[in-house]
Amino acid sequence: MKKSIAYLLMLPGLLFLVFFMVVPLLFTVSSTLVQQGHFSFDGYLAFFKDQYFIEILFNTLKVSLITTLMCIFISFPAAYYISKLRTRKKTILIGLAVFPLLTSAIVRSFSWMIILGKKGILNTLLLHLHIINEPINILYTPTAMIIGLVHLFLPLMIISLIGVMENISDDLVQAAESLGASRFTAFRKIVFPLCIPGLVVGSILVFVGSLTAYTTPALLGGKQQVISVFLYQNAMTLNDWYAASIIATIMIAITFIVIGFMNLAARKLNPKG
Amino acid sequence: MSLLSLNNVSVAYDKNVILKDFNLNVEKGELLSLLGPSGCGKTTTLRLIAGFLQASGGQFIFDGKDYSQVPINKRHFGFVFQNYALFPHLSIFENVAFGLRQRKVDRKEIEKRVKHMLEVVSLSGFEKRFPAELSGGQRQRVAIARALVIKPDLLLFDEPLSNLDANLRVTMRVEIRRIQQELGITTVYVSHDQEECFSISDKVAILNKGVIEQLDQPKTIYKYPKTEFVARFIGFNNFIQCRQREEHETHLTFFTEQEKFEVQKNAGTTSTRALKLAIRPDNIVIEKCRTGSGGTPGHRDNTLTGQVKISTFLGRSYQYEVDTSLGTFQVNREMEMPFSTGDRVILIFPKEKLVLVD
Repeated sequence: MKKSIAYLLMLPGLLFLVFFMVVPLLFTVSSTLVQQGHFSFDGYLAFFKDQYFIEILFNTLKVSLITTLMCIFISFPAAYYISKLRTRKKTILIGLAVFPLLTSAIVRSFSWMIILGKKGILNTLLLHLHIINEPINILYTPTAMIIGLVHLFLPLMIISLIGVMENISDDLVQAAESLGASRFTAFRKIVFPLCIPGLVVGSILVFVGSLTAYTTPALLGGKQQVISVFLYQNAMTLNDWYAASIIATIMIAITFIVIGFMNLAARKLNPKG
Repeated sequence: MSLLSLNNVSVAYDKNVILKDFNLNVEKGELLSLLGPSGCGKTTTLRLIAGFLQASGGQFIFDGKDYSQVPINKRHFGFVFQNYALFPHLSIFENVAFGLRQRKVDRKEIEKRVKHMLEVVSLSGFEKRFPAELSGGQRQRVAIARALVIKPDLLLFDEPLSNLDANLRVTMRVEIRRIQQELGITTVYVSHDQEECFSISDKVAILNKGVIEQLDQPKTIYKYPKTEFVARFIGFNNFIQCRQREEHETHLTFFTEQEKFEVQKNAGTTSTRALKLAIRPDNIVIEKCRTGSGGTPGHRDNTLTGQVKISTFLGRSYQYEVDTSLGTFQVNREMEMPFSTGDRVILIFPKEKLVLVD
């Protein structure tokens, strides 16, 4: 009785997901495997033989990886500091950390264009301070893309880390120290392993987010292609839905591989996480 | 010379002064308890010794050396936390081995010492488990093993039993005392449970607002509290403020406005000029007043007449609140025929049961 009500309540959500996500997804994937009425892997083979596509794929993975690592490095100290604070100050700082999520990606990207442009704020400042003699090219490079993406996804990493760090009691560090560990060793052997679950969640969110982000790389990356922009061009400009479907399927596959790999790494680093 | 000395130590959080000019000496091999209500500074003292916090003034001498500036990880003290503070991501074996690994002890030696220590705390066979899979008592024993395996120069306990249920508390405190004596490790033990402190300690220091009110053997404190605070803390709920005292060969005589109390001389009465008497509710004898209403004050030494205000059944005994000319007294008595509210009674204060407090 109770169970049947539970299933009944699940039904609307389940139907929505099945019809608007699972079924279209299956269509997309199956359409990439059929050519002229026959099962075929040729579409994929063609893609992986294409030097241009491979370059885009690696470029995307590189940008996503660097973005994730940057987010980890920036978030770790910030999250640790915030997690040790008391209620009021903590609420304010978490609010500030999350704030970027509340502004539109387009607005943010345009802001970065103003800052990073050839005659932008950064170049003007550096020229005035005589640190550089001619404007440097940042906008429309992978660097600009990474800056934009780090800005975009930093809150996700900070929030994930605060979640686990809040549960690490100071007593654990003191216990480690009283047993002869230095501050650094206590951090390396106790605090860091206990942060792994948050680190994994944060990394998956940031990596997958960077992998699939469209607006930020499209606006800040210029000619630098990433896979999501490539997909858009195939579908909308070239009207090649077959190619677009293959790209989409490859992106989904990469996402799953990344999640699996991260979980594997997590289990190795922190068996009880 | 004492193994551990705190000399005129001060500690303050922001503007909150916790300890001021605090002094404490611990002798080699003894188990000393710090006992007191919450906020009395006992945990602060322990954390100061461990190095978790810094004194703003004073000196901490350990084994003849100034330890004030020695970092936590160089002190070689074992600390057992109230919440155990086991490392949740490490197995029981690795938890206990942690301190040995920091000391670069060789692998075989680690194996041997961890195994032996787990035997001492009766947790053999638990090596591969994780803290989350253990009960509270088992976790506490792991915490003790982890602190002991490094053969610390000093062992520190911060209310280690307060999260355990009553039966386990008794078993564990016996265990702690046994291990401590077996290994002869000097120990400082913090608790707010007096039975726990009295049962396991060589000496107990009773703290109040950052000051040691009394430091003595448990028996001495129990029998002869020196101050009103200590007396109240260990259950002397009745006090008589006197105005004058006379000293005789075997006893002292104290006078209030109208009454006279004799007190037998004992270990607790020799050193003090105090004018306040204290007695436990169990030690006052209560009898029916035979003279009817009123009763002549001072008709007999060491007695007061009064009226039962409240009578409470406690199971084994009855507890009475008795109004007298010197205030309300609390009396515990086992009896067949209890008094009821309003009864006139005589309270008798045996002279060997009265103690002097400052």
